[in-house]
Amino acid sequence: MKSADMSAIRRGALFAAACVAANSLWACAAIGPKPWEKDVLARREMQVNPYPLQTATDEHIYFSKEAASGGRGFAGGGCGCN
Amino acid sequence: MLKRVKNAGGRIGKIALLIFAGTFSPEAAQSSPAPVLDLSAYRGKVIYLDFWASWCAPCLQSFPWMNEIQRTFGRQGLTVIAVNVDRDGNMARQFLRGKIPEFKIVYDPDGAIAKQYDLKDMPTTFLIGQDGKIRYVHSGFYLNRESQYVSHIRELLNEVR
Amino acid sequence: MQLNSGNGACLRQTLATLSLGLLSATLGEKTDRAYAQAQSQPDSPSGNSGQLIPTSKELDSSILFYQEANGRVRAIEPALQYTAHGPDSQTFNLGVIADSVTGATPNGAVPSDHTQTFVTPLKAPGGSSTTVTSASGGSTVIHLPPTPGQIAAAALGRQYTTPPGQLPVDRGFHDQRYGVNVGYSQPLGEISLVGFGGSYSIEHDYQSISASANIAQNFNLNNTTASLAVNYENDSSFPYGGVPTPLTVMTPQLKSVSSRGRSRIDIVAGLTEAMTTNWLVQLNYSYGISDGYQNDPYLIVSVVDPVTGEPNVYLYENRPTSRRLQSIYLDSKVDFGPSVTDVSFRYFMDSWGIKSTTVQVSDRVRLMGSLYVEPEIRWYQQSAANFFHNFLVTGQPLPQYASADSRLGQFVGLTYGMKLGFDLTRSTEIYLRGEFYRQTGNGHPADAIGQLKQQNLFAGVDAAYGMIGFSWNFD
Repeated sequence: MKSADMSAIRRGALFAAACVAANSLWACAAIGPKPWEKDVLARREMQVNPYPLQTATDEHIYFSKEAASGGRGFAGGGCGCN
Repeated sequence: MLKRVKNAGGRIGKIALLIFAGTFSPEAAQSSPAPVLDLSAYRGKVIYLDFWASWCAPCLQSFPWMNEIQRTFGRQGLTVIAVNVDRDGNMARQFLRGKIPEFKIVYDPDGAIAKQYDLKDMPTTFLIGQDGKIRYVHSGFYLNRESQYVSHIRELLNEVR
Repeated sequence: MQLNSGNGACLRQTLATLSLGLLSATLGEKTDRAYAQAQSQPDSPSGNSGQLIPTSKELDSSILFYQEANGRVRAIEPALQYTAHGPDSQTFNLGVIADSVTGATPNGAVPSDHTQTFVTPLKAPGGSSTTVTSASGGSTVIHLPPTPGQIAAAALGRQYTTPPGQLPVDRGFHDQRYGVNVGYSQPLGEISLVGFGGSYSIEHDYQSISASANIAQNFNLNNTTASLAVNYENDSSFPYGGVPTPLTVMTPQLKSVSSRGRSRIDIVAGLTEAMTTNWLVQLNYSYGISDGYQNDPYLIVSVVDPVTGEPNVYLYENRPTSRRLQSIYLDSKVDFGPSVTDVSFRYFMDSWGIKSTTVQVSDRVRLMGSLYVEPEIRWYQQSAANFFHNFLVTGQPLPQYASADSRLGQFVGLTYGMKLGFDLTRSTEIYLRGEFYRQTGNGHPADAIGQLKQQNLFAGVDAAYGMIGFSWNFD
């Protein structure tokens, strides 16, 4: 991998992460829904991976026909209950 | 988490401080909001104030248990009040259809009561003692912690006033 | 037989995704079922402290029917996944998957204006002298000229031909693959989620084992989640006829090396954020290192005449043993009310010189009741690996690495399709999906020589697939 490309992807990742992580700062805790406002986020279709077998099947097909793979996450979202 | 007894104590401290500050500040006294949920009718009773929603699975798991404790401890002075925070009230009413809750249900679709009690989790239960103060806060509902919940209820019921 | 290099690793991807994906599936429970399940708990205020009775269980099933154009790969893949949730937010899952694949797959050679003949080791178990019917996809058994010291079983080979003007494909294979995966997660003290999992898959000529561990932490009233997952995988390739020496001439003789392996470690760091009451954003960074045998032992590269472009000889491919991969993934899901729109973007790059971009958009439109229809489109683009060659040329120095696998070449892949689903009953859900996937690439590269100028050198895929899924929530 060219070092210029690697530093570009690192810079992009850090910038994007900082934008999302800024929400984690105490001062910005006001952003985001309150615990009692999570009715929509609790729905199945709003989950990170609502249909695991469908995701796994797609990943399988694309893994066997393309060079790139993976990248998806697994945690977070939802109603935040308990 | 049950360890948030400290939290409840801290909150009482903050409320006390505000009230104290309020006595010296006319503006503060004017701006302190009137309680959205009026619990004055239940003074002297132990209140199990539970916040629930139709989209919250652990909330729904607590329903049969809340029926049970209302039945068991109602005569000793326990009042279970379940505040529903569904933004769409129909979702709550649809869930309750066919079920006979033995406790009071309050509807809070705008979340004003939830906001006043500053919920940090769903579900959240506030155990309010006979003195009208919040004594325990249960964050979340866990089926295998029922004995701990019951010990808190018994403790507040057994207090002599 | 491996369809493409590391096809058994497809299962790793499948299974790892399953184990990780189900960690986030703890939250989509049906309301009435949760209440009904709680009703059946021991009716005592003291509860069932200490007992590990699942508070909910789910069985997910699916079946995939996959078909490529022009008699190429055809597959059926049923899968089953069991998930159980415990009273203290524990999650356990167990899954099995099976795969039956037949059809033709490109062998890496380029088309020619003459008939081409390929000979490869025979896949008959035990290598007995009983004739394999020529109905096995147009291959015939041939007797090889004996070489000194060779045992009788090695004197058979498999031969197939490609007519002029057609892309050379190997038709004679049929493979089954079986896989299992297991995972467990729970909160631990102050940590929101800790989990681990493993998977195993086996097929006739490939085996894959993997183990993973993960951790996640919630902040900001559960609106922010930071997560980290590590996955280790070990693959073994034991192709029919043995592992060929790279860049040697294609031959049906048995090879002396019977198996080769590789290891891989992947790390995924993720950040999930509930931005508003109906908007969820996800950002992930992945890094992977793979070391060992990366070749597809069945793929060859044509070496052609520098003037006529006719193939002179076929050499087994060779890829670097080391590969480093990185990707960045961003996903945004918004519930607008009438529909939920999901947009995702992924940028990928690796040490083989491949860069790719993936954009995916789907819109789940609510119709009446629980019925929904969800059109989706996916655009994928990748650049070629720096050792990708459509063909090599006689007389030119042999490169250290060379592969003609279209999976490593430059192409654009477009998928478009539709999903339809609804709740069959209060506790069951069904969906149907139909998709078209087409890869397009340059079949007439500028460096084509002689007769190759008249041939289409692109070997990419043109496929359609359908899926049926069924979920059942029970107590």
